[in-house]
Amino acid sequence: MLTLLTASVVNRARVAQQPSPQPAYRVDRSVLRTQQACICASVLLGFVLGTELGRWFVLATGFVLSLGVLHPALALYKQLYWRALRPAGLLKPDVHVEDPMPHLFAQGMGGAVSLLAALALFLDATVLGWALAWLVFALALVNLLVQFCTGCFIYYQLDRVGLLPRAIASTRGRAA
Amino acid sequence: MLERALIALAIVAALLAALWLGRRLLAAADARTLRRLRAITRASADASAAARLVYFTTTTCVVCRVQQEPALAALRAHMPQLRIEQHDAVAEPALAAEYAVRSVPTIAVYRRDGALVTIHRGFVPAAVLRSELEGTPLRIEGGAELAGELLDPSR
Repeated sequence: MLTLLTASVVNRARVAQQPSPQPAYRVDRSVLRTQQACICASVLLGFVLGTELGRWFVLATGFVLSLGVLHPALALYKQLYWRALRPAGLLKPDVHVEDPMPHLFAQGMGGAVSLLAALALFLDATVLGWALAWLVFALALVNLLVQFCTGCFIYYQLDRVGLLPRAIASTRGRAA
Repeated sequence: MLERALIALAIVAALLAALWLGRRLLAAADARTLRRLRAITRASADASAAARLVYFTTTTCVVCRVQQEPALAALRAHMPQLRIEQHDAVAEPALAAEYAVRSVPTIAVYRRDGALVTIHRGFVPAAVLRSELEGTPLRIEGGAELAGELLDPSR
């Protein structure tokens, strides 16, 4: 029945404060939550404001997510947490031992779908554009509320069947 | 704009309702799995003379490798008689389905009398497993998520 198994996709691992032999495998879930909330707010606001203005919100979301994959400094939603919300004490770090790569993969997927949505909206394919934008919204909301990361799930499925490039696969950095 | 706001509100409400329903269904499915497995273990209660853990992992599970397995090793050091049955959830789909494994690590906890205590989905600290295996209450003051140091018998 359940062959679609994932490694830590349903994110229920608890806070790890014990020393870890692999300190690189750390994810601050507050960063992810901030990003998901920003995605939801952006799509929602864009939709309410109407296609003419809203498509720019969707485009901006796509760019922020996609560029953030290339370099953390370009991930504006994450920067909002690092530079404003955390220093102001509004959000606290919630660090877990897990591989950050699936989350980055999910972010890239969200960025790609958002860019497609923006493209459709700019080409006047309004229904398709908003359908894609709401899909991004829905997946971000699911991740925000129940910690199920669909992009991570897809990452693990691709990883399991060996379809991911070695550079981003879960076995990266290990001896072949 | 009001019309679009109402549509957005309806979509968000529908999503939230679907999420709530999904969680309820998952919780019900987990409860059914637990009841079914408990019925099996009651039927063969004398099959196991040692406490045991049925531990599901996969080759790509980072939490398993970095967090859960050190916790299990610490637990085994304190309970040498403990049996840990490790299974690859991908390689053994039938067994994984029997335990309704949806994510890893998943750990089924069996006491010495063969009774299934619970099934954990996600990382479980060693101290929590130990208290469940021994049937003793877990007394923790802060930092309940931690593993190794809580195995200190003096605590």
